[in-house]
Amino acid sequence: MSEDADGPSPPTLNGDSSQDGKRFDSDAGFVDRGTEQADEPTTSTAETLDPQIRAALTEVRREVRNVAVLYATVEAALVALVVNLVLGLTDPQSLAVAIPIPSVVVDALGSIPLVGGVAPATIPVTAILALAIGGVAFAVAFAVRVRRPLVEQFEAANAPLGAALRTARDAVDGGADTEMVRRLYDDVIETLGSTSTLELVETRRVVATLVLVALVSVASVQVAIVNPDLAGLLGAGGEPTVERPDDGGLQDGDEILGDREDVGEGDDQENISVPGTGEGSADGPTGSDGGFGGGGGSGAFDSQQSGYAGQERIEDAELVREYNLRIREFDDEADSTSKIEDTGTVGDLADADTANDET
Amino acid sequence: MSGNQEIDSIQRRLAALREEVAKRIVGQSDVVEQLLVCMLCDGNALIESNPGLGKTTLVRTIAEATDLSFSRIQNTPDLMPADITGTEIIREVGGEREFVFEQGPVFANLVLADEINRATPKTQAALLEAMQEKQVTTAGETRELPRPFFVLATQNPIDQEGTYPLPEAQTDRFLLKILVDYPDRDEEREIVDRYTTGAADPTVDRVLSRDGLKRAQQLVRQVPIAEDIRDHVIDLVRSTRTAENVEFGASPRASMGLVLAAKARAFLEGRSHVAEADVEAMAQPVLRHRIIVDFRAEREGITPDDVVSELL
Repeated sequence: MSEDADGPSPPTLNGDSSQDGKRFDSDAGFVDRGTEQADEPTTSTAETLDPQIRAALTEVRREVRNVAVLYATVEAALVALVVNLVLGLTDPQSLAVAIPIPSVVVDALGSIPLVGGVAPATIPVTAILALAIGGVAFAVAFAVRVRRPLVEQFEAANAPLGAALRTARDAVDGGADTEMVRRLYDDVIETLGSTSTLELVETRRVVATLVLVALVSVASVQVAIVNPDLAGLLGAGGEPTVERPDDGGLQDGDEILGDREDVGEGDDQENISVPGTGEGSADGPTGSDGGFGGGGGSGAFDSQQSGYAGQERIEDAELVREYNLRIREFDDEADSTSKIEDTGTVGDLADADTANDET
Repeated sequence: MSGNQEIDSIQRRLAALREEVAKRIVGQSDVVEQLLVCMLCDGNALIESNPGLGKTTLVRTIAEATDLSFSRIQNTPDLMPADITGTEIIREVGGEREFVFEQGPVFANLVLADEINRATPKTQAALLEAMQEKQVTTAGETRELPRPFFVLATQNPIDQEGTYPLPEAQTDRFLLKILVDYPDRDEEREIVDRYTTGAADPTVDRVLSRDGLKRAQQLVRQVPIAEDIRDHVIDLVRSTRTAENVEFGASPRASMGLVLAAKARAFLEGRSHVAEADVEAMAQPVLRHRIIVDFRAEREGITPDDVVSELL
C-alpha cells in the first residue's frame, strides 16, 4: 500500500483507478480485477438502474396524480351539492325549467329494478347547472394540485426521502452516471419500496370534506321535501306562495249538510243522559225547545269539527253560564241522593231547576 | 467488491477515523469533522485558535490514522522561502561535487504551518503557491508535491504584534477557516485526567490508507447535488456581495468550495446526496474568511459568522 513521495497518478473519475487492471479496495488496497469479475456488477448496473429510477419517478408522479384526482373529486362534489342547495333555496324563476330526459334514457332507467319506479322523466335546470359548476370545480382543483411538480409534492410529504429523491430526479434529468449516482439510485429505490403514498393524503381534510358532503346532501333532500322559497321569505318574490293546510276558515254548515228536507216525526223514545260537565260551549239552539235527538235526515254528510262563527252575544254567554252552574248543582244533589234519570233535554233541566227552586 | 460495497467500506473507515481521533482529542467534534471535510475536498484549512488547544496533536493524530507523512513548520519573521520549499546544496558523491535538492518540510502529505501570520509575506507566498499549485519551484526547477497534500495553517487571533496578516487574496485560497474554541468544563476535566495520570498516550491505529483517502476524494466529487440546493449555494454566496454590513463579499471560488464541502460532509455522514443541512453546516467555515465586514459593523461587533447566519 505504501507509495513513494510523489504518489501514484490519480485514479480516473469513472471509478477505475489508474492502476492498470486493478481497482481500489479500501480493505485490501488495489486488487486484481481478474479475481473479482464473478461478483462485481458490470456496467449493466448503470443500464438497469437508470430505467428503474425512471420507472420509480413515473410511479411517484402517477400516485400524486391519483391523489390530486381524489381531492378534486371530493371538493367538486361538495361544490356541486352546495350550488344545488343554494339554487333549491332561492328557486330562481328564470331556472324553474325542467328538461325532459330522452325517452331512451328514461326507458333504460325504467327497466332497472328498484330505480325504475322512481326514475324521473325530466331533470331540473338547476341540477344541470350544479353539475356543470361541479365539473368546473373539479378541473380547477385538479389543475391547481398538479401545477406544482408532482415529485416535489411527494418529496414534501415524505421529508426523509425528499432530498434524495430530488437529487435522483435531477441526476436522471442530467444523465449523470457515476458510482455515487448509482449508489443514490439504489438508496432511493430501496427507500421508495418502504414508503407509502398514503402520506400524500391528508386524511383529516378528506374526511372533513366528506362529512360536509354528507351534511349538504341531507340538507338538499330536506329542501327538496319542504320546498321552502327563500327568495319569497326574503321579500324578493312578494307574498309567499306556500299554502298552509286547513287555512280556509270555517265552511258553511248548510253546504256540508246539504239542502233542508222534511223528515217524519219520530216516535222512538230514547233515554239520553247528559254528562255533568259541560263539554264544549256550542252557541247553538240552547234556548229552544227542540232537542238534539229525535231522528235525522236520510242524506249522508261528512263530519266537521264544530266552531263559532257568529258574533258573540254576552247575554247568551251569561245564560249558558247560569245553566252550567245549575246543572252542576243538580248533579251534585243527584249524586248525593240517587241517580236521577234525566229526560234528556235542556228544557227539562230548566223545569227541574224550577221545581228545585220551588221546594 | 462492487461499487456500493467499496463506497460503504470507505465510509465506514472514515467513521473509524473519527473514532481514532477521538482517542486523543477530547470533544472538538466539529473541528475534526471540518478538518476531515477539508481533506476529502483536497483543500487547505486555516485554523484560528488560541495556543494550547491541541491543534498540533489533532493534526498529528489525523496523519497517523491515515498513514500520511507529517511535517510541522513554525513560522517566524526570519523564516525564508527556501527553508520551507527546500534548497540545493552541494554534496560530494564519489569524489565529485554536485548540486542535490534537499526537500524542505513542505514535502509531506500533511503540513502544519504554525502561526503562518508570523512569516514574512515572501515566505507566505511561497507556502501559498505550494498550497495552490501542489508544486514548488526552486532553482528554476518545478517539483511536484506528494499527494494528497494538505496545508493546515494556524494563526493566533489575539497576538497581532509582529505579524503579517494574510492578504485577502491569499486567505481565499484556504477552503475552510476553522475556529477552535475552548473545551467545556467536562471536556477539560477529561483532558486533564487523560494526560496527567502517567498513562501512556493513547495509541492510534491506521484505519485509512493514502490510497483510500484519494479514492474518497474522487467519490466526494461524484456525490450528486440537487439543482435547487446548488442554486441555493450560489445565491447564498452571491448575496454576500450585496449584504448589509459587508464591504467585500465572497468570490465564485467560495461557491465551488461550499458545494464541494457540502458534498464531503454528506459523504462523511454516509449519505449519497447533499442535503440542506450540509450546506448550512459548512457555510460559516467556507465563507467566514472570505467576507470582510465594513467598519461600522466591525465597530458594533458584527462578525462574518453573524452575516452568514443572517443570510442563511
